[in-house]
Formats: sequence, structure tokens, C-alpha cells
Amino acid sequence: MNKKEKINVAEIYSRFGIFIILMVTLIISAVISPAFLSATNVINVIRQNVTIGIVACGAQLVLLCGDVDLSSGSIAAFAGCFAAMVQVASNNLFLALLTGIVIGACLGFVNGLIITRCEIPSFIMTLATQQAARGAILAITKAKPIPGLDGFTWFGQGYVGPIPVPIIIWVIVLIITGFILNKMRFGRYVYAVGGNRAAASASGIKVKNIITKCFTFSGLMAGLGGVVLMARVNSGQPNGGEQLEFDAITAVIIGGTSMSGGVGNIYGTIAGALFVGFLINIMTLLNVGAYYQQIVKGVIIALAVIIDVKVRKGSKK
Amino acid sequence: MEKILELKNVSKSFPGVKALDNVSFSVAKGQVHVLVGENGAGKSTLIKIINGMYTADSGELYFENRKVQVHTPKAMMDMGIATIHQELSPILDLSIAENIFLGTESMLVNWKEMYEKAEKMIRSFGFSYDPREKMRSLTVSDMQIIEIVKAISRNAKVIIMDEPTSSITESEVAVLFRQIERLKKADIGIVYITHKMDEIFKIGDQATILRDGQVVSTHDVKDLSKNQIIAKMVGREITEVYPPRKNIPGETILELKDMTSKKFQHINLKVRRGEILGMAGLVGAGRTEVMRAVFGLDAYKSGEIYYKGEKLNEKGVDEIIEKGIMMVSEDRKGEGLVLIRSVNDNISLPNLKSYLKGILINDKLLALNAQKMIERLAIKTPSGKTLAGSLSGGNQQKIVIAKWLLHNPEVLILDEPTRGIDVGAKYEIYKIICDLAEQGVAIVMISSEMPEIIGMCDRVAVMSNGKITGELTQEEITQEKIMTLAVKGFEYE
Repeated sequence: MNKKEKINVAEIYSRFGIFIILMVTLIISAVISPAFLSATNVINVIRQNVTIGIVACGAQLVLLCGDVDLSSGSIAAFAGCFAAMVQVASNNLFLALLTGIVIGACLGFVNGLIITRCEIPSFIMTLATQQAARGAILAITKAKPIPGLDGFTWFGQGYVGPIPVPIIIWVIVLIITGFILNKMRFGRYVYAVGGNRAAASASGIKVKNIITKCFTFSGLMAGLGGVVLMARVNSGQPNGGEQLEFDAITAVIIGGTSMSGGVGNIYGTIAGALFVGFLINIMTLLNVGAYYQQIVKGVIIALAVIIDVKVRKGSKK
Repeated sequence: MEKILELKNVSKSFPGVKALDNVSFSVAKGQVHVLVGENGAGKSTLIKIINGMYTADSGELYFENRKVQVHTPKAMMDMGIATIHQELSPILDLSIAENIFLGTESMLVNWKEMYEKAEKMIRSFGFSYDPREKMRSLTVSDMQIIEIVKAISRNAKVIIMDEPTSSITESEVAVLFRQIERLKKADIGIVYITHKMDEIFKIGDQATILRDGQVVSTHDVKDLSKNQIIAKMVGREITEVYPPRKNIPGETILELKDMTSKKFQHINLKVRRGEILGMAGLVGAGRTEVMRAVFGLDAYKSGEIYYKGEKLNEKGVDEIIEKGIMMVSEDRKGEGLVLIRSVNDNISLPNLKSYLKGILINDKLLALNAQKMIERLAIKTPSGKTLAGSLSGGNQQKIVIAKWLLHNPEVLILDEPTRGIDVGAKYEIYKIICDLAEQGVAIVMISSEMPEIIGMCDRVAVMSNGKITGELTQEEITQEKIMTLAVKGFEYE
């Protein structure tokens, strides 16, 4: 019955590992820094990490398929700047929001389409998009920020009652993503495609369509993330969102989603995003330099993946 | 009986092979139709045409007396054809219920209803699995039962079972057979592929024997005997020509004593200098596994290997190569060659050490030695700098052999040395093998091609289901005898 025990270890880790780690981090942080648990600080940390959290929702679907999307940061800048331009031209913030989302989704769709129809690795295709989209938006804006967003900043800085608008957006996105993954047929297919592509296709699932939809969703989330990002900094930033995709992927992986696809859930991703945010925050409060923070982040990514691979290897034997 | 599925004059070719040649085949309601044949006889191609994974080059398919127009996996599945694949595993990280209903869910998943429906179906089969459990926690036979439940849940009218008992225990087989009886009563037609003779008689109603892509004959099982089936499976005339052999087997150089691992049991085998020993059997019999263990690629549980009269204690592949035992993998492209490197690079790869001058490689010597091999084995290549991947299969195989010849092997294990090679090149490979044996190299040739075993070997050991079921000397070898031994290991004690 050794086999069964190992399976349980794997399951417990992929279900609860990150939550335990998150709780421990919170408790230790609260003990060593009194400022840490204040409502202002907590809300600030969450708000700072909303963009990552939104993009992570898209990254999660793609990773569950067993693919990866490296273009999110560039798509966020591209879509966010276009949204800013529409805002400046029309002063209609919902039209601007819609522009950002649609452009993001279109770029994601192109990613998915080329990846599945030309059968090239997602890693390469999204790397190409990352370069091209960034280049395009820098060319279009001549690398200059787009100022004068007025009401548009509500998406990044506004409040509904005591709660910041970006946090509300993130919560809505999380609910939608959770619903897709847990309640919708599409979500089940995502797990099936990531779990065993051949079996999924033998069950009559159109694997390529599922993958394309995941990239479209990822692009859409990047577009939305871009809107929030631009709104928070009060201008369209063609250089914004750099490394955003890596932060998002980090959150998802730390949250227990397998790099090889098929395993992982949205709760883990929430916890993963918060964990990274709080960890950076406590290091800042403790005056740890930014460079050292980056080192810690790197180590954590490596550890999360090592644990993922080790635990899963054990369960498959 | 009413025919439910019928194939008329179906042919299918792949580059270089006629996989199916004018095959007609049908299944009736409530009937188990067994497909029998050697590896490569065309069984897999036939079922892949039935379930839509391949499209036939010519011929027609009828389902419930209507001609099939749209021939895709999805269309065939919707029509009522389900396949229980031999090697296709389910999605291990999803629950049992999710696996059962995969591909048929509505837009929104109603978990409660799905679990309840799954539970009901599983109960109706007399099982008690929890549909919420992960597929991963089941045994292989449990998974197969779930696959059957899945097929039934889709209102399958024809179920194809591809060697469903190949990886399950005897008591599990009994469970499976009870389910097959139930399916028959429900008027479901079953296409059943097996190598196990006993099973044909136990559950088969009709049997179709395939050989080299053609239907030999179709019979009611009750009119057949085991020997008749074997004779029909192998009853081909041997037309190929083999080079004359002048090798003289000498003393024993390699001896396996009671070797056992997960994949094989109690293997006793002697190999002599200058001898060509054939290893026959069906795919999956454990021949490759035994030899991989000898070569140090896989570990074994118990038993001993004696080499030149002494116990072989070396465990690492590099040490065993040093001793003079070498193995040419059956997976030429995967394990044998680096296709994107040159012929010279490939030939010298295992010997690079001997070309080192300090830390630099002596390119001249390397090219010179490679050139010698190219000439000795008559490798047809424009030059030593040509990419290995651009050569024909036969020449690639020669490169793999050349790799080892530079090492002066004393025991050379060849796993399916002529697979995917055209007739002319085959003869050249045979000639190389004969020459080596004549020079005193002990050759172990694993082959699934019976004519080649008969034409080339001094002696043949037949394996079945992980055991050696018999040895035949050259005078004794016939196709029937080999096949009889090759299916022997599957008989129930």
C-alpha cells in the first residue's frame, strides 16, 4: 500500500501545499513586522499584485493544457496602450476597456491558431509574439507614454466603498476562471487535454480548438491586465508589463499547477499570487534590497518546480 | 445473424507496405468476432480503419447496412463504435466519472448528476468503484472495466477490444469475460484481438485470420482447432533468399542462468561463439527486455550472467561494452543514431575516447577509421560527412552496426535488425551478420520476422509471456513450431 500513500502525499501537496506555505509566511511576517498585518498594507499588497493575478488566470489555463504563454506582458502593453488611446480619443471608459480586452483576445487567438495549425511549440510562438507585440506598440507610440486618461484611472485607482476597483476586477476574474475550470465542459476538456492529449482526442474532444481557446483566454486576461496596469499608473506605458508573464507563471506554478499540464486549480493560483506578493512585501518592510528579492524569487520558482516534479514522479511510479 | 458492421474489399497502403489488401470483414449483433494474426498482419490497421483513425485507400464500410460517408473518429464514435485501446491510457488525474463522460458533457457540468449517473452505471455492472475517485488509483483491469462502462454509456453498438487481457491477471480476465457475455446479450457486436489461443475458444463466435495484410479465412470458432489457426497464421511460403552460412558454432561464450525481472522469468540461455542465435516470439514476449538486462540497460531481480566462463559482475553499459558485449537497438532512429549528425560522427560516437589527442579529437584518424567501416560494410553514402538521417534505412542500420564493429564485439545483440529495410538492403545486412559469425562473433538476433529466423539462425529460442517456452535447432525450425511455442506462455495453468 506504499503506492497509495505516495499518491496522497502528491495530492496533499498539490491541494494544500501552497496554502500551508502562505499561512506560515503570513504568520512569520506578522510576528517580525507589526506593520505587515495592517489593513492598509494588506490591501496595498493585493492591489499591487492584481495585474499579476489577472494575467495568472490566463496563464493557468494555458499551463493546464501543457503549454506556456510568454507573450502576456507584451500583449498587456499593446492592448493597454490601445485602450488608453481610445480613452483619450473618446473619453468613454467602457469602450476603452472593451478595446483592451478585445485586442488582447485577438492576439491570444492568433497565438493559439498558429500554435495548433502550424504545430509549433507554444514556447517559440509566444516568444515571437512577445517580441513583435512589444516592438509594434513601441513603434506606434514612438515609445512615448500616453497621458490624459482622466476617468479611465478608475480601473486602477478607484474605490467602491472601501474596496479598490482593481481588487474587485480580480475577484470577478477569479470567479469566472473558477467557474470555467470547475463548472464548464470547456474546463473539463482543458484538464483532459493537459492530462493525456491522445486520450482526449480519442474521446472526441477537438484538442486544437481547446488549446486555441486557452490562448485566446490568456490573451484576453493579458489585455484586461494591461488596462488595469495603465489605469494604475495613469498613462499608457508602451514599456509597461515587462516580465509580467513570468510573474504570472510563477504564481501559477507555485500554486501547484503542473508544468506538464492536467493538474492544478484556481485556489492554488490565488494563493501563489498572494504568496509572491506578500513575500516581496515583507522583504521590503525588512529593508531587503530589490536585487536580493529577485534572488529569493528565483530560488522559490526552482524549489516549486523541483517539488512538483519530485512529488509527481513519486505518484506515477 | 444480422450484420451490424461490414467492411468490403478494404485496402490501405503506407509508404513501402501494403498494410491491408482487399480485406472484407463483418461483425454481427451479439457476436464476438476474433481477429488473429502475427505482429504486422494488419490487425491494428484494420481496427484503426473501423474506428476512423485511418481512412481506407479503397473499399467500403457499412454500418447497420448503410454506407459510411463521413469517416472520422468522431463520426464513427457517434455512430456507435467504441474502441478499448491496448496502450491508450485514460486521463489519470481526472475522476472515474469524468473519464466515463469525457467528450459528452453539456456546456455546464452538473457534478452531482454526473456522479450519480456514473455510480448507477458502475453499479449496474456489479462494481463498487467510487466515481469520485481519481483514475490513477485503479488497477489496469479496473481501468479497462471503466473503459467498457464508458463505451456502453455512449450507446456503443460495436466495441473493439485490442488485446484487453494483455496486462491483467487471470481473475480479472474472468471479470472481463463475464462483462463480454453481458454485452453479447445486449446485442452488441465485439471485435476482439488476441494472441491467446485459449481465449479464442472461450469467448469467440467467429474468427478471422489475417496474414500479411490479407484475410486468410473466416470461420465459426467451433469449426477450428488451435493447430489449424496456427497453421493459417504462418502458412506462407518462404521466398526470400539468404546468404550461405559458413560459420561454425564453437564453445559457449555467454550464459544466462535463471534470470528474472518484472518483465521475464527464469531465463536460461546459452550463446556460443560463431553462432547465430535467434530470439523469436510475439511483440511484448520479453525478448528485448532480457537482452537489455544483459547489456546493462535495465536492472534484473535475480539470476546470473556468465561470460567466457566467469561471472559477469559489471552492471554499467560502458563496462559491458568494454567486455565485448554490444547491442543494436530496435529503435534505430531513437536510440541508435543521431540523425542530424554526419555518418562519421555517428560511427565514431562510442569510440571518441580512442581519437583523443589531449583534449582535442584527431579528426583525421576518425575519418580514416570511419572510411574503413564505410567500405567494409558497403555503406552507400556520398561521403562520411553526409548526414545520417538522409540515408536509407538499410544504410542507417549499417552505420549502427559499424559503430559497434570498431569496438570488436564478441557478442553482438541485434534487435529487429531488418525492420523497415527494403529487400536488397536486408540481404546485405544478413551478409554482414553471416560474416561476423564466421569470424567467431556470437550473434543474438531478436526478430519478429519468422522467415528471417528460419533462414538465418543456427538455433532459435522462443519466448512467450516472459518465459522461454522452447528451443529449436536449425533442423527442427518450422513456422508452425515457432508459433506454437510463441503462444504457449499464454495458456492458463
